[in-house]
Amino acid sequence: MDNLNLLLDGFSQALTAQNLMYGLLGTFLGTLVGVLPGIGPALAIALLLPVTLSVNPTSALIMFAAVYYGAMYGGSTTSILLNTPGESGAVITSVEGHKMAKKGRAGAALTTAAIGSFIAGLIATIFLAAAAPVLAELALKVQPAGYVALIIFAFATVGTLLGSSRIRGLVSLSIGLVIGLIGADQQTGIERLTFGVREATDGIEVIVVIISFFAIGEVLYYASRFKDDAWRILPVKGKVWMDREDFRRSWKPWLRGTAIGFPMGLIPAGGSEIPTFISYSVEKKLSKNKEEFGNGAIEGVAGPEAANNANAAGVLVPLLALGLPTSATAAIMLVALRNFNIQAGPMLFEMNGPLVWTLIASLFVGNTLLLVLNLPLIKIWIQLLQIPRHYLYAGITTFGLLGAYSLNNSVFDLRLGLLLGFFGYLFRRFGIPNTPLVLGVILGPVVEIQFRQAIQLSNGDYSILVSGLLPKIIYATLLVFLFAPTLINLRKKRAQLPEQQ
Amino acid sequence: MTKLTRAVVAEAVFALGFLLLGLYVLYSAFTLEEPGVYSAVSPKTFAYIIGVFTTIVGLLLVIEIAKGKYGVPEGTEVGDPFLPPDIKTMSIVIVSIALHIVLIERAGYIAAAVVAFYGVTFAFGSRNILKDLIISFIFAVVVYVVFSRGLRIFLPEGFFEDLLRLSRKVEG
Repeated sequence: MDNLNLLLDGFSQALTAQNLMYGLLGTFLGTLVGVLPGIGPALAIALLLPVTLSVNPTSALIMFAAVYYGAMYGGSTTSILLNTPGESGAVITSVEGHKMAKKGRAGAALTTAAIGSFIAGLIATIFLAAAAPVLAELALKVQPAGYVALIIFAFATVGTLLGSSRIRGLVSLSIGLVIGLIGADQQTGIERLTFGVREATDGIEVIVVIISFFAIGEVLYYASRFKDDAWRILPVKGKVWMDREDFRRSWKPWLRGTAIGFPMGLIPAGGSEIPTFISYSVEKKLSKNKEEFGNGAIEGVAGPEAANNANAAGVLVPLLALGLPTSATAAIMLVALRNFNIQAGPMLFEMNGPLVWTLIASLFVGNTLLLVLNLPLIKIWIQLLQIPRHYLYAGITTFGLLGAYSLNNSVFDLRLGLLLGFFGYLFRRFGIPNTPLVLGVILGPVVEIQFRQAIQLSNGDYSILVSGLLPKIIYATLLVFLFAPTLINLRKKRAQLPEQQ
Repeated sequence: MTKLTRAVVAEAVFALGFLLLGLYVLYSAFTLEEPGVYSAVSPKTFAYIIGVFTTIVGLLLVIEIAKGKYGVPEGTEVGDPFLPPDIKTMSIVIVSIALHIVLIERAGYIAAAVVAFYGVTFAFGSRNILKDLIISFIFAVVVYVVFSRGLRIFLPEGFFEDLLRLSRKVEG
């Protein structure tokens, strides 16, 4: 029960008047930015990072947690009313929720999303508080070789599960790894891929990469398709609240979505896309109103939204306990924690105990503030969607540039931002997902350090990488995971061949 | 050229460019100097690993495209007709950002932000010049005041920033 006391201490930190103010501000800003079309949670957090830099770590973390949940919620509002999911986890919400909105049931869709997110966030954060310290303790025993295996596993799953093509996911990952390689080597100071540019010696700022890819790249991509894209915002007609029938149909999907989303956040399985899809198909199977699916079934919003939010909390477990981000949003959290000199990983709970528990308490507070603040404010958020497109993109661009510049007051970062932004455009144009890139940039240098430590421990014997139980299990799982789909396909084809002849 | 072949050429150029990146990383790993200090694993090793990985992925991408599997642009479905990019709109956005970069430490944050904001507004088809300029200016001033005065984040100063300070002195 020691952890419970620590958590209560965390609450006493989070619930001071000043910190509550930061929490409210974070919720407000997070939703505000997240609701803007084209801005997903990852970009929202990256853009708001400069704001958190100037306050003390505790307040900043609280604001951060609030921004995190706020941006997630804001994203689902946009998906429902505009059908422009800001991130892969909101795709399903936009399918079913947008249909509901078209039928004039936008209010019910938004409410079931909000309450579902709240319940999922609440339950998942409880599990997070219970699981993260345990995992961190286990992780203390993990050897460098085990870490190398874990990171490679994360690379493989995130790289191959996202997007339309496995190879394109790997393209994204390898460009990320190459960017991570730039700069002076941590151990020997040898410069790699710096082209003699002085500013590149320190390496490329992750936040600059993220802002360029997500903000500048997005604006450039919309610019390239300017002629053929038009928006239609659906009005929120009728009552905003859900009725009794909606509740009856929603509460089970909320809980099931949570049960699917949270565990899948624990394993590096490629972000929130898969759990939301699973939740959707589960609800479709179990529903008595199957014919409604595809035409605006409330279960199809309630389940995936809960799964998405529970997943977001689940992702924080390996992030905090292992220092291993498995989604773009988590990756940005890792960078933000680094900015406060908090090193996520097994030592985190020992080194920064009070701060981490404050962060977890803040997640509870942020989640609650969100529900309290947003249900009454839904109509105001909808107004935000009416901002003319040209101002919206102008704002995203200018704010993105500000974020890139203010990190180091460096014009070099801005130039880099424009260059990488163009790459971000190319990624969208050629259907290449962004998330593997972000993980590559962040985890590339980490895996190199672990790799070196492993080899150092074994006095140069490379077989250490596959010795020990954990690496063996991980690599075996990986092999099954990578080749099973291909084998199954082959067998199917063989089975079909005789029939065709 | 028809639209389809243009798309195919674009895919091929992209894939080959990516393959070249992989080869370049390999080349640079090859020509990297050995460190003077001892380390169990040379910095070359990882550069090699990433170079080889990138090159292999590049080859796979080329094969995929040769087989006729093209990328699906974001926001479109498989089989949607390919639309050529709107070069004009893109160029205005890029030029606005470039001007922002040139101006920020020469003319101060506000002037640079007005240029970026207004430029993008213009690129996206708005021709209400006066209104847009005023909104750009208000946006820039608000961001400047909130970040540099409120959050104490440094932003370069120029003509408008001096003016702002002057007006405050007059008030005080």
